[in-house]
Amino acid sequence: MYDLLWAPIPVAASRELALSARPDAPVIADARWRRASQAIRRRTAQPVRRFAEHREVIPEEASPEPWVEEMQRRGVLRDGSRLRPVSDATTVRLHGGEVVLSDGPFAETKEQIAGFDVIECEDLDEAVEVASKHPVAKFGAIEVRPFWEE
Amino acid sequence: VTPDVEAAVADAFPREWGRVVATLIRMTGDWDLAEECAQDAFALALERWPRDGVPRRPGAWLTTTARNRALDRLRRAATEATKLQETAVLPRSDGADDDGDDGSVPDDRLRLIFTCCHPALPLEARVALTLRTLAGLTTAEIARAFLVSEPTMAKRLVRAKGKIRHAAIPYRVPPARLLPERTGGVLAVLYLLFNEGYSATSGADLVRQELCAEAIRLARTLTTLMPDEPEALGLLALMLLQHARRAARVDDAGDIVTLEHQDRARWDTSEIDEGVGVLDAALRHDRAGPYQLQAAIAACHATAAHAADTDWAQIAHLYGRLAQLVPSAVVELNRAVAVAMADGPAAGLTLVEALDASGALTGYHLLPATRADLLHRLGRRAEAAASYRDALELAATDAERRYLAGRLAETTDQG
Repeated sequence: MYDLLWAPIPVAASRELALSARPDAPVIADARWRRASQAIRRRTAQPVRRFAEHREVIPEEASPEPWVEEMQRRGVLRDGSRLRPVSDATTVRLHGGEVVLSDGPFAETKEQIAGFDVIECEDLDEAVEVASKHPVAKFGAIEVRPFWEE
Repeated sequence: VTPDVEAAVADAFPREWGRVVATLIRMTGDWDLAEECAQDAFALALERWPRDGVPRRPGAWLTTTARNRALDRLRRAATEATKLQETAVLPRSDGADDDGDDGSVPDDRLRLIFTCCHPALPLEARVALTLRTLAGLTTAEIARAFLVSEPTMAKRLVRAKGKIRHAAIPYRVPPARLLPERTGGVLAVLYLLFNEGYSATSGADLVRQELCAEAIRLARTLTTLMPDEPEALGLLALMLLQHARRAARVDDAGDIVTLEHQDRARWDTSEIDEGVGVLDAALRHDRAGPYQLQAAIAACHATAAHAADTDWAQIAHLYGRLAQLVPSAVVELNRAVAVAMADGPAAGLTLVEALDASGALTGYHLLPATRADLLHRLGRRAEAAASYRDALELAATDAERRYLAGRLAETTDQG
């Protein structure tokens, strides 16, 4: 199973993905996420991005299991996964019809996306509450971004 | 349009604008539509009121008119199925004056102010949205007040409304678990608004000075919407007590006049009386908070007939309590000044030196300035002069530098 890292893409294409993209924030998408987003388009959906300060070290106390269980019980969690470190990433570009590969992530930043979750919430206040309970909120940061709807 | 009717519309505007917009947002979920329909309603009032007379309840007339306008426009834009559904749930209205929204229904303005001040919005957007939707300032006016171009301000507002819509920032008064924190956020936005206006001193800054009046008006509204929130009263009292002294704050040359040298005859006594009354009402709740304490300190100053009558012991005590609630080196410095006034410069100097040693205020010009003043009063002139020079190096504005240079000259002359 691979996760595809998508570089910022034009609006028309991003609609298809139901994801918004910003040049400085990489967007991760995969087939499962797309399916999930299509299923929940009607209501507010907020993907929760997990960032880890240290790329490969996820502290022991950061086990997301209790959080996953709680949020599944609440019916909030739709999808989610940890991602392999950026050393396992491959970046894809199309240059003049040629596929150009490079190793590593497409943006070198201090914080790297370490995983993602797709959650379904009533509003931003609930999404923030759910994100704040995720263990990574303690030692990293979590970006909450709504799906592109309409 | 007769002047009478024009006056009636102008009078209704600051009171009713926010209420109309807030209600329309709740009904349609569309912020732009709400603003446009509110505007239409006020325009229609100028047209109709001369013919039909000013309605018994202008606010209800305006709300109903704006709502009917929204209904029309949503029907016309009926290609969008979702909006059609929304119109179906809008209450029908037959008369123009039948809306029982005077107290029987919770005031939508409270939802509006909490949404405008949501912490997920950038601070500058919170301020701009509050001024636009609650106070009814135009985008051009807000742009002038914040010294940015109108397109920049327009973009800021569009982006903020976009985030409210896309990220689903809820249009509601926060639930109990979030309320204390969010209320603090609303009060902080209003106080920021007030300070933006208060720091404007020159004639060219007139638009900015108007922000003080808007902030006071909004704080007044908030106290009626949250009558059990003593900090809202505390903030209103603080603003009134500071605003009352505005005429005496700078001299004709634009130089800062410190509190002790201000011409107290130029203070607005009716505003001071009102501020003290509001503060009393706040303190009766027996839940002191930072705004009430700051208002109490301002009241100590504002109610002293002469600088020499100031109750410095009480002020030192209030700063002590403030420091417990909001630990801050700046509060500690203020406390040191009050202690010096109450118990003598040596007692104050001990506190200032401790602050200096802690390093918490490194680079803050008022620390060496205070130190210099206390040393001067203790007759330690050489040390005082050295501290004034430290302060001069750190001071940011010309007015402050002029003041410090003056004090330095005094110190060295006597030496």
